[in-house]
Amino acid sequence: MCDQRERVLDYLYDEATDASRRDMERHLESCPDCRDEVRALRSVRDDLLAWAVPNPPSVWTPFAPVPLVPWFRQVPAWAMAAAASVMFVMGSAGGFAAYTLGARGTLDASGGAPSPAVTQAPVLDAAAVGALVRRELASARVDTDRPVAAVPAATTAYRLDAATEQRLLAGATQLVGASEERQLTWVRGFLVELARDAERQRRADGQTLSSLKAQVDQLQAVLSQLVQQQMKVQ
Amino acid sequence: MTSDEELVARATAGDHDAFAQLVTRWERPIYALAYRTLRREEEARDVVQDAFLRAYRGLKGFKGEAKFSSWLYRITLNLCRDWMRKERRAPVAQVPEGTDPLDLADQQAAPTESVEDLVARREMSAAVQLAMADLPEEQRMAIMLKEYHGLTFQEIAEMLDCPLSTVKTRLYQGLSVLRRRLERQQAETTRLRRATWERTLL
Repeated sequence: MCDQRERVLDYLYDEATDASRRDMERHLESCPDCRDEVRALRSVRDDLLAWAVPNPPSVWTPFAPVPLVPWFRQVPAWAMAAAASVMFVMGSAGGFAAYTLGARGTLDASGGAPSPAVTQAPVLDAAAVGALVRRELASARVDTDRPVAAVPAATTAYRLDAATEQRLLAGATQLVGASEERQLTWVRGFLVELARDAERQRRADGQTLSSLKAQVDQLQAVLSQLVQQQMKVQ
Repeated sequence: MTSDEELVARATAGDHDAFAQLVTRWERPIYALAYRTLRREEEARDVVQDAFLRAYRGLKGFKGEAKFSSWLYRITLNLCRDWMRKERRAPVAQVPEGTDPLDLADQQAAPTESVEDLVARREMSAAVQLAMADLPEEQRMAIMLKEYHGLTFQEIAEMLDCPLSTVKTRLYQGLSVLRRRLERQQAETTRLRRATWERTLL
């Protein structure tokens, strides 16, 4: 190759001036060595593009000053689930109590008091729910063996205010969605892997078949040669 | 889009969001540089965090003589060098042995790519990593900054503190060596494959 390295590089990486680029193009027309060199370097550059980089999560977190996510996003999934179970049990118990007390009330002429759980259910906001969940979790940790049936006697039924319920629901939906997404991604990856293995196997089988066929052809040729020789001998 | 310089000025004045934007804008390229230099995912992530921390602390000292990105690249390269010196060894190529299905699925998202193409591309990626790992550091740096980060020859010369012609020589030599190695590796792969088939058949 002629002594054009720097100019070839300028040309290759689009850093040449217009005049220099035109010169280079003219030179390439008449110099097959340089033409080959440019082609080979371009091909290496194409190959270099194949080096993939993993896609890690953002590193921004350590710099973030205040957590901007609402408190219930920071509660771990197991705690959300536990809280949901507690709420469900309390709600059912309240409902059950209301039902039995109400039924007794209609039967007993002396008048059973209507369930306070139904009439006086307090409406909770986000902070109250937080406190409630924390309290329930704390007591759940203290005594995990406590029978569930013991809970309703001491509790009141609660209702969430609409906004909090909406937010809790959105949080749960998001968790479920993310989990589904992860599973789908995994399944997709698994299928691709499977397809690739099948393809590899198919190619290997094809190769085996054609090679066996070649061997058979060869044997046939040898055989027919032998037969001919035999006939000549006879 | 707000320019880097404007964001730097706002971040220096205490605007946290401005710095967040700079991180978001530059963390991918910085990670790619660190990953390709160290070829280790975890360490590359650490370097990226460190680089932004240093940049954050050093913002007031950054006079804007160079571009913000060049300054950040330089910090990153220095951190990578520190890491390699501390480890007292050359970076080890992490050639993907098995295939990560998640990664594969991501790449599969490009609908036009066939499974064969995908496998070929992954093999090429591993081949490039191996070939690059064997290059002398200065040639590797020149190729990396030019090929993967699109810096001009002048910017590379300033970043690596060497004359323009030296950058071009390193780049040229590096590319020539890579070309030979990649050709040899491809020939070797083909030979191995053929040998495997033959072994399977006999």
